[in-house]
Amino acid sequence: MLIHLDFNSEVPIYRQIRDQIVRGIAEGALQPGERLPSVRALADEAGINMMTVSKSYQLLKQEGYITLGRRSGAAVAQTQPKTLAEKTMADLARVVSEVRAAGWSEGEFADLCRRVFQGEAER
Amino acid sequence: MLMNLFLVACFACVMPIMYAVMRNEVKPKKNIVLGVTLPLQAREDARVQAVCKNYTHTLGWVSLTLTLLPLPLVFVRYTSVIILVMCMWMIPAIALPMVVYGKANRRLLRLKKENGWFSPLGEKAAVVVDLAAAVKEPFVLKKTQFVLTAALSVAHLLFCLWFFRGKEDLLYILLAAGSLALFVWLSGPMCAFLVRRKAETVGENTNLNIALTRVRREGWYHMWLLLAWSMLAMQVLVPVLDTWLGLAVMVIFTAVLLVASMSIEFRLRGRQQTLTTQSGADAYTDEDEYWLFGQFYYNKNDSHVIVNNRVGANTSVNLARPAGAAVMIISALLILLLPLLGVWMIGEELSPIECTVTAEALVVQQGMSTYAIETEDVTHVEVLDDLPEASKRWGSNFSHLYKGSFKVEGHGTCEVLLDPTDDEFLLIETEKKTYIFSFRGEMDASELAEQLQ
Repeated sequence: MLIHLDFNSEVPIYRQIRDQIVRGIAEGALQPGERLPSVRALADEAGINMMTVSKSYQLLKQEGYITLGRRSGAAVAQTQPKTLAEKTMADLARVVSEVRAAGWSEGEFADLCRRVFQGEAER
Repeated sequence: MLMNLFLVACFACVMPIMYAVMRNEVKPKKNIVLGVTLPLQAREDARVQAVCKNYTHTLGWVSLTLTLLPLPLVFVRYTSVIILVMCMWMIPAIALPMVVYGKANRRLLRLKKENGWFSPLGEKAAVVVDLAAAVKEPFVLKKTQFVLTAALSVAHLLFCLWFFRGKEDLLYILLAAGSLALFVWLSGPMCAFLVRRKAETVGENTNLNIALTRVRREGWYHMWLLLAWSMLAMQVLVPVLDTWLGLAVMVIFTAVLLVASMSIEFRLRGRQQTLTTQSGADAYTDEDEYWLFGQFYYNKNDSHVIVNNRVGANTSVNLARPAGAAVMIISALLILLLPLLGVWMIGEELSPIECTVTAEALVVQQGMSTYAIETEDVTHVEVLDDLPEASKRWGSNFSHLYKGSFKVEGHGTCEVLLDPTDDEFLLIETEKKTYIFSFRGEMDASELAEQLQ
């Protein structure tokens, strides 16, 4: 699985890494138990600071998406969290507000959500 | 004239090598043609082919002209003049092919923009990392041979220390062998450093990324192993290198090393080409934005100073990093200031050799070098009609000037300051050293010998 880091984006790099790993898990590109590069290896590959990668991995660990072990390194968690992170819920609420402000109906929004969930909206 | 041809060839041989490497850039490797990333269908486009053909044609003429241009120097009398002209020649020899490449790169980039030949991953360059490839170890560095060469190198140095103890050659041999030993010892660590460079990420095919990473690291391994063994061999040959046989051995050795390293480079390029023949049909990475004119890497978001070249085994520097910019500036300055070396050499070779004899001492001067011999130290004086075979230990060795410490047949190591084309030479022996001088007809060696005697 490839991750793309856009340094011109307003989204911080650690967030980009986190978001793309979560996406990879959601799309099945990253399997439960699959090893991830170590903090040093990923920082080296991307040419970024180790602290940035470490922050991203810590966030993923807190949210339950990955496990971090001293000897075992980083890996995708065997079971993914069922509850959504607070920030995700807040983001969702914000998106709903924007959709309602644009005059969309609940059905239209549900249809859009279904298509995005199935990856059709991007195609 | 043969030596002049050899000297010119030492410089000019760079040209065919550069031509071969730069001509190879038209062959698509990792979706890249002349430094431009193109999708599969674009690489067969007639307009792209036309740019490549034009580039090859222009490069060929530029390279041929530059190769043939210095040939008349073979007839020049003075070595230093040849060196000056060749140092000046180096500047266009390096710059002009790069200009030709840069122009072709720009033309292709324009074509790319006009036709929208961008990766589905997006127009703007992003740093792309293959997570699966970053986890795997595509290549495990085998250290055995590096350790072996380092150990043999140390053993050889110790042997020289014992074998040449008490002999006048000891310091020279240890310095020469020690310098080569440094290359042997550093080969392993340098190889280990390079194989930790960023993995290849051509597209979404992890297996392809891993394969490309492995072939590049294998290429480095073979290059550094070749360097370690060849430097060890040179180190062992140091005691015989100051003879004509030694010079011949060095020439053959250098040629073999050159051919072997070029072979590794082109084999790697061939494998990169073969592995990515069908690449570029789906999503692929595109870092054109970071490569100025396809040749100079500039990425302020990349913390690496040393980066891989896009194709082949070579590396480059990140100009956005202060250390990278410093390396590039210093390298450019060294090339631009090379002619000054030639100017200095002309001063060295053509300055007159002056001699003053007093009751106390004989003083011989040339440029900034002065040899002062107290007359009471002189044990033997002789005039030689011919200069015996002489080979340089250290100093200057031009067609019209020998200066420094030379090994002279029949006389051992001597301090010399002479023009080897002169008709007579003054040999002076003291208890500690032997000197050989000549004066380019400005002074009579026989008269000086009588004065000293």
